[in-house]
Amino acid sequence: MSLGEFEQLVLLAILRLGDDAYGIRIRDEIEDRARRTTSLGAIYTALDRLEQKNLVASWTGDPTPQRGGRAKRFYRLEAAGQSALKASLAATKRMTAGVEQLLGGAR
Amino acid sequence: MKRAAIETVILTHPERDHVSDIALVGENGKIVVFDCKAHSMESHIAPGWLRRAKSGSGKSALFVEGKAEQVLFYALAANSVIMDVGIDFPPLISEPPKLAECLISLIPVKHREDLAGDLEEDYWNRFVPRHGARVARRLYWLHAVYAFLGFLARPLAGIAGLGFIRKLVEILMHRMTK
Repeated sequence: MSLGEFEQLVLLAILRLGDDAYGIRIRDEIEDRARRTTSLGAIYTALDRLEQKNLVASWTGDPTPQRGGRAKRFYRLEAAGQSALKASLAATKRMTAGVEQLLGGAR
Repeated sequence: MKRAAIETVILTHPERDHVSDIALVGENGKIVVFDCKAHSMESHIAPGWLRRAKSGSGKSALFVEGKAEQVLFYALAANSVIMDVGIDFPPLISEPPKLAECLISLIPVKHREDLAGDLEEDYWNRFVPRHGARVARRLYWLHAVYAFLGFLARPLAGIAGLGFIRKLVEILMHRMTK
């Protein structure tokens, strides 16, 4: 299953965060590491898409007062999500092999 | 003399991280202070107040560091006099816009609560401390509209202009957070 660039970032963020992967933390992780500004709306539409593809699963945590008594929804990668991410990263790796020098100072 | 245009002030003790008092200032300037401990108000405080208190302890704590403002504030509260004072109170923190919350209630049920909770958490922890209450409320609006359009755009992907509007909102959000 092919992944879009943003979906790949979301899956990587979920993988990195482990048990603490919920909307805000995923957004922050992408902003910190990928240095890409994004919004919760974009994160949630991507998560919804990934869940429909059975690449991630979610569960609801306990409500907290800081969130107006609302619960957090946590996400984790499903086996299919891990496979899709592996395949996507491998494809990126194969495509970038040997072209780093051509890209010059790009990071 | 300048009238402080405020509705609610949260008072916290600097050494303690919990809410000690909550003062309400009505539109007529009358002040009522609830001493949480003395009057066992903690069990009667609405969840919204507590939330506001915890998140708003930063700027509102100015009132309780032994400064003249605090003394005056309590004196005014004790006498319940009209609050015409020549003090520039720090900007007060207000709740996220209710109408924007209604917009969130239109997105699919599954993500409604999660997104609303995340946006509220962001509002108190990110928007307000970084940009102040006024911009925070606008940002909350923009994020709510953006999320709403995101979920709306999928079933109505063919509608011309929807993507453009969403892009426009995205640009506005990024500009405001720069």
